[in-house]
Amino acid sequence: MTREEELITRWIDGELNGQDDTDFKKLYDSNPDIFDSFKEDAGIYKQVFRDHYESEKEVPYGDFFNSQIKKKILEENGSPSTPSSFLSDMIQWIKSPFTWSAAALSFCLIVFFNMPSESGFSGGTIVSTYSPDASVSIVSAEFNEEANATVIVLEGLEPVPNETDFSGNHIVSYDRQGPPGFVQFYNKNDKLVYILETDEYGQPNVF
Amino acid sequence: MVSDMSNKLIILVFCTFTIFGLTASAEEENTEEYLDSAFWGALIYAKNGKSESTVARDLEIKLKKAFTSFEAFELLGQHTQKNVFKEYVNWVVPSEEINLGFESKGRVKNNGVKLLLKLWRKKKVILKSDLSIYPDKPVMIMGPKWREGKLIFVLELRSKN
Amino acid sequence: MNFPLSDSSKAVERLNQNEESHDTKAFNKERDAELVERCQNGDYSAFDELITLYRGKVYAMIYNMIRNDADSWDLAQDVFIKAWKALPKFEGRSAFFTWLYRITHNVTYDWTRKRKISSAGEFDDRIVNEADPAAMAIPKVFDSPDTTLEREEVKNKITDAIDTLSPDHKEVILLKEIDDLSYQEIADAVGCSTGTVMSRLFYARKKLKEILGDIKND
Repeated sequence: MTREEELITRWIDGELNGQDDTDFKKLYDSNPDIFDSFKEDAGIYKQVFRDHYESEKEVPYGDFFNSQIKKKILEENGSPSTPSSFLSDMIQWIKSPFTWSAAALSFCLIVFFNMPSESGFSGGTIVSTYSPDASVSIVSAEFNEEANATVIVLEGLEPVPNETDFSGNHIVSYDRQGPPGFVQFYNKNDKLVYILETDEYGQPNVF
Repeated sequence: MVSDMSNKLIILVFCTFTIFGLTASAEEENTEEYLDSAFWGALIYAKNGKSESTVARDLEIKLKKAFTSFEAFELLGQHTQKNVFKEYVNWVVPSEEINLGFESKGRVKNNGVKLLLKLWRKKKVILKSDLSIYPDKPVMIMGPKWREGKLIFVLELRSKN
Repeated sequence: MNFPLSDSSKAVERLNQNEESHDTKAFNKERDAELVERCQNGDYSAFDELITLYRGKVYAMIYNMIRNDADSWDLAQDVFIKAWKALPKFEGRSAFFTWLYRITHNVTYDWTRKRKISSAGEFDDRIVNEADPAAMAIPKVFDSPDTTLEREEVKNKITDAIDTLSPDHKEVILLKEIDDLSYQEIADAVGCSTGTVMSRLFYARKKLKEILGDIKND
């Protein structure tokens, strides 16, 4: 960058001092219009920057944000050291050729079955599905190629009472502007229909 | 001869590891172009009879192919969630009877998002599922019976725009 | 939109604001030093306080660069996790926030490189033609900026133009215009010299000035 460019930058930012001030004055006097236009345009952009960008932005779910950081730090620091006897057993096991041959065969099979298709999407979407409720059975849980969707079908569920009126409370929007852990759901008339609170056990409490 | 065999096995395993390392997809990292996404969730009433569907045509086609025993699908409620943060539970069209909660576990290849889904029947979890959702490939869960049909939750990954 | 040229009354106002901000900065530095010391002694609650104090700024800085809430949220967490790990080595030679900004810069750049969003270093010339960086731009004659810029579409064009600046230039000009950091603070945050900071500021402003000239000629 040239000396003139440095002086212009310092002048725009109000960072001229001492010798810079004197040097700039000489430069400015040579063609004030040019420098004034620089400063004007810089002022325009400053205004646009301030309208469009924020110096500080509220973090959504701030308490949760903090708790996640703490959780991750504890997870990274909290792994227990393994006792030396277990470690030496592990080393012995790893050294065994039988272990290596079994591992080689397994990995060959994994690579073969996981070769990506030409489209890049292998169709597998479900990693695991289960029901903690013994009365409920999962009839199917798979990617349905025809529907191009992941479809899960359950059976054995307790029916929802006929008089339950879902259509009367046609949810169309929600917001989380209230206290943390609370979500407000609204119908098409902008009427608050439900407030859902997630309790400390993760259970939904609907009001 | 035994040590010769061991050496050959070790070389084979080394090559296998190398091949595996080169071909295995890093499922936790999205190497694809970044996708600005939102989640659209809906509760749908699947039934038979002469009534017409009130869901979008594209979705109706998918629903009919997924749940062949139903002819009509009525939209009971829907909303879009634009910002879904990792590990934070989001809810789809709640009610006192049945709720679908989902948490993002981060992005996966092909612009997908890994989710943990929990379906609640009142205060009990009746389904837990670890799955990945991709654009244009919704997740559809057929739930309990209601009136003459069944309730279905649909979750779609969409572009924010 | 009015952009009056600065006059002496504005200069006095600005001087007063600067004095106030110097007092605030001094207070913050003392407060941060105390919290950092407690953190280095193993007091996590002090770190939690620091997170609460600075998460808004970190989140904003990342969001200004990548313009996505969900990823900014994740990356902001990564910044604080890295800060916690690096805190034992923090010696207080720079302000805590400048040090935190440095981590934010690194995390954002690493993410950007992986996502291939970065245009890697130089100006993005999709909007205007390459200009000789050594030449001084001659301003074109135009109508009063106030009149022209009242049009929302022009403002949108400008914001689009800002987003086409390379990350290096955009970051520096945001830190200057939005966060009002000094050249030295910016240099510490992004890991370059004050000369480079001034150079990037000059060229970013020059580029934006050319775009403004083009918009006014439309």
